[in-house]
Amino acid sequence: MAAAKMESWRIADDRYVDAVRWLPSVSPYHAPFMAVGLWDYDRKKTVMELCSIEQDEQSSLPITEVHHSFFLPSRVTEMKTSLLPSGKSMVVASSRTGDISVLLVSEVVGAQSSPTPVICAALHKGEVSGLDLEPSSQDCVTVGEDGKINVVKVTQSQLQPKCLFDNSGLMSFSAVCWASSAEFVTGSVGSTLQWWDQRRPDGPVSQSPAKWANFTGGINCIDVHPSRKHLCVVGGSEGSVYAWDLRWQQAPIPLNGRALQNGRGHILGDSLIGSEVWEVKYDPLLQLAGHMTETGKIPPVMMCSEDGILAVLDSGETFELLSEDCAINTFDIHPESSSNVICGLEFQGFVYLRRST
Amino acid sequence: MLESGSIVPYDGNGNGASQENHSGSLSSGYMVRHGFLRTPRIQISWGTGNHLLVSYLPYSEEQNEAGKIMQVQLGPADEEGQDGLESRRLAASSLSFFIELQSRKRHYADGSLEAGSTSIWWENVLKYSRDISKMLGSSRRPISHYRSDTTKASKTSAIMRAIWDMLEIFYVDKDAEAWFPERLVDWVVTHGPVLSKKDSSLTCKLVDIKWRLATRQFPEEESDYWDGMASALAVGWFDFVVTFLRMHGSYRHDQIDKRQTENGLVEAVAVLVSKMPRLRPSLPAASPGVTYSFKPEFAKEWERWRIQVTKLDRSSFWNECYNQKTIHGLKKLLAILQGNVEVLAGSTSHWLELLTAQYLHVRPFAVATEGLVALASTCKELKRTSTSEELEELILAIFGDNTEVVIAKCVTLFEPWMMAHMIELLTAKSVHVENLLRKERDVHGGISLEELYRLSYAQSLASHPLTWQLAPVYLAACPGQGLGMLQTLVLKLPLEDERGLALKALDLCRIYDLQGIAASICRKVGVHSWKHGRIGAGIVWLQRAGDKRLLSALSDQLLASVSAGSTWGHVQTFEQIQGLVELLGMEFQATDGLSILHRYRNFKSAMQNIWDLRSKDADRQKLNGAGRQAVDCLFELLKTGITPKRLWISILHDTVELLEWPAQVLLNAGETNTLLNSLQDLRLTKLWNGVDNLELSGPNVDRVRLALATNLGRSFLQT
Repeated sequence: MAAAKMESWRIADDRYVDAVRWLPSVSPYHAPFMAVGLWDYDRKKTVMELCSIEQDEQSSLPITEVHHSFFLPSRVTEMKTSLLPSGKSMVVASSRTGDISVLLVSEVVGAQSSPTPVICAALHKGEVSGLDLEPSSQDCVTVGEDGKINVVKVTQSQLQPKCLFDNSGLMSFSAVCWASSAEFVTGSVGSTLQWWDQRRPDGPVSQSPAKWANFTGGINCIDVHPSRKHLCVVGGSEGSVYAWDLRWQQAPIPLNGRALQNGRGHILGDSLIGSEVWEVKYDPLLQLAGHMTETGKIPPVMMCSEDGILAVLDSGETFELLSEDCAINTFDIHPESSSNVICGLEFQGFVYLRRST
Repeated sequence: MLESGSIVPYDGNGNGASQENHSGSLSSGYMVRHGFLRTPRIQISWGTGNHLLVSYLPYSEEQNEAGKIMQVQLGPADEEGQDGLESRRLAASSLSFFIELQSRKRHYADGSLEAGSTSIWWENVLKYSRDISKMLGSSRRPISHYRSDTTKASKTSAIMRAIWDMLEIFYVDKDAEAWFPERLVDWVVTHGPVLSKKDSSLTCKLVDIKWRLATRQFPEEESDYWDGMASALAVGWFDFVVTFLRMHGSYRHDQIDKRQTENGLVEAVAVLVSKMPRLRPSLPAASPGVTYSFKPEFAKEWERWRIQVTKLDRSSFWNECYNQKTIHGLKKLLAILQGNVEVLAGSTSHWLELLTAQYLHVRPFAVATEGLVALASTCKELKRTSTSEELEELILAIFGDNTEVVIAKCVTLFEPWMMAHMIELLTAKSVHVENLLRKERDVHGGISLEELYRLSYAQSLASHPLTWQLAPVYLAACPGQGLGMLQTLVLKLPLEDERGLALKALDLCRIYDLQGIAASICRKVGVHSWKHGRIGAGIVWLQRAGDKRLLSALSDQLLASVSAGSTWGHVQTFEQIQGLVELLGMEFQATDGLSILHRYRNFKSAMQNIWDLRSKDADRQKLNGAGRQAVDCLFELLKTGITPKRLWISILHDTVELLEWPAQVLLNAGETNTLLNSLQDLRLTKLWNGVDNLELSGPNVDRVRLALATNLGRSFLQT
């Protein structure tokens, strides 16, 4: 059902893909554009590229065409994109040295003179482990292993960083995601989720129960459902993917993991994916297709893992979309046309996936 | 140092905010804090890749003088360039084929092949070989980030593919024996350019002619028209010959001279060439010739075709043709078709081409490799090449089935990739070679040659940050020393640089069942986090490592910072620690060293509860209950052997409030005595062990004593 029909192509690149994100497009007639954070080992540089996916004239296979490229201070840890009311898109990339780089791109990417990124330095001590952009206010929240939470206000002319919370490393954050224009969720190395409100900066508003069933290791990624704000989904070690519903805080719902359990705590058996889950995202494609009827159900979630699997988890079933022979470190679903998916691989580039609705 | 959150200008070189220094051979030095040293020290150790780490730890009275570590890049910084790219691409794309073949091999050994699949081993290897050859051939990247092709890298990979294909013919494909001459023809057509160092090979020449003459009206007037055609015919480019013969000027209608006869002769030769019988299962598309796979049938047809060639050669039409050039050229072609060795030698440039021509036109019935070496040396003599290059020696060794020499040559000629992967080809069907490569040898530390080559390939992969993840697959295929090397590889990863790397390493440990290594990775990351002020992460990792000793050291430090005012870090508020304890949860309590922190937290929050109730003017009953709870927490904390003695004083100091509980006695006589004993214990410890940092006098201690004594009295009265 989930993987009814799809095509996938490998797009080779000799650099290491640290992050890849679609740029929101204004018109559906343009070729899909993406922002890529690459590590060029041979030149010891980090490059951010804005490129489109075009069709090669000879082979009619998808290829990337680079429109702009920039050098960044150090390797990209996380990247997010968002569409501004002015029609421009914003790309924010965080780095291993605690900086973020912000880039404003005008509507038609190819047509303009090269934009210049603005760098906001030393937000964190050590690497920025999580980053998210709020689509309406353009606030950018960053978290780090140093236990800081920063909110950077991005305005047309400048960046205004503000340290919202600092626990001096008593707790290390590993992921963050906005829930509304004031609230966001963080994940910590100790596998705890915390719900924060910008208006109450002295501590988290609520947090997940201390003991999560079978949850070892940390949280690698979080996503909050765009319309059902109380539902967030997290991915962590050993294939664990959990949903956490703010309305039933005490019982995280396992979607995938070493011992997947049913509602009454019975173990359903080993799941397909047992390695690190690097990224999770709600899959809008299947929701569009009318899978939102059941109210108590967790919407379908797409995930990628260290053992090279891209899969959709839906109603207790796992639908494998891709199975690569190396890790899939990052992926993104196109915000407007959700049939387009791009994945960043451990070796040699990307996989471009086009699903049919 | 940059101020937090400052906006720095973008300089376009990626140096905007980093303190890294990308240029020069000395790069990214960093500071390290170290203990007290009597003498200054210099240490040299290997870093990652081509780096040498040089550390200088100075002698210093003051502990805050930091040591310095510099990374020195050995060799030129850009020594890899294209080569590195190409070999990385090769490594990444050949992985899946290697895995597939290994899993087939296991199935084959188990005899558990599913029905319908092939049961002959060499056919599996043939598939593997074809896959890799195809991959080697698709060498050029579609993305145009790096211009500059036809470099050394692409040349090497062309040679590699040529040798790979030749090994396939001789060592893997049993079917090739039946139509060996044609395989050789195909090989020369595909890999001709690698034979000569300069770009003067026959293939290049022919391609050049093709481009030059294709647009001419009368191509036969060019000097190299006939020579080129003779060469092409000799080495088996039949499509080229037929196409160009039909471009001959005599085909044109608008001519003044009478050229019909001439045209007839040209067409006759063209037809003969395109009708040539070939002993092979199939021909590539658009290639002229008639295929036969059954040998007697082929022999019959070939004889008949040969007679036609001879007939044409002796026909009377030649006398009616007046274009001497055409006659001469066509006769030459016929001589080649008749197998005239002299003409063949004249039309080819490399001895291998001559050898191919010999097989194609003189001995098309040759079986497999019979007399191949002898014929090859004859060809060499004819071409007067006395000295032979390494590549030619390698080819001769393959011809002569001289596996030891093949291995020795490949080791010197190619990268470790080739050796690790071509072993499968060599051992596909020969038991002798299998013995040679798979026998364990004491000279190599008890491992076989096969394993030795895999290990050395894995080593070359492991040293690079972009390929180290490929190495485990090859190490897993090494029964002797693979596991040990895998452990070393995982342990030596630069985990400090990257959060994700530790998780990737742990995943490897999970796959290959290396629990011990996983624990030491967790410990490493834990200690690193702890030392860099990330206590929470440190605890989580150390818990994962199950290291109680380090955990209790950490909790000691944490407790000290809470109880005795902060001497370390920024941790000052108890609330933060409380948050941490809550976050870490129940497992946290179970860990030995950390249980103090947990109990201390309980005690503190019980005290907090009392204050809260008091400020809210709660009723006495409730307040007493809370007080009693605090006392319980206190005794949990003071159970023998849990709390270090140096913390007792501060705990006792907190107890004063409970001792001076208004209107009721919370601690009975026995409990009070226990506390008094504790105080006495402390004094004795100080006396016996001469511990200096215990402060057992002063107003604080006096207050505790007084409170204890008063409470003792009150408890006596109450009972």
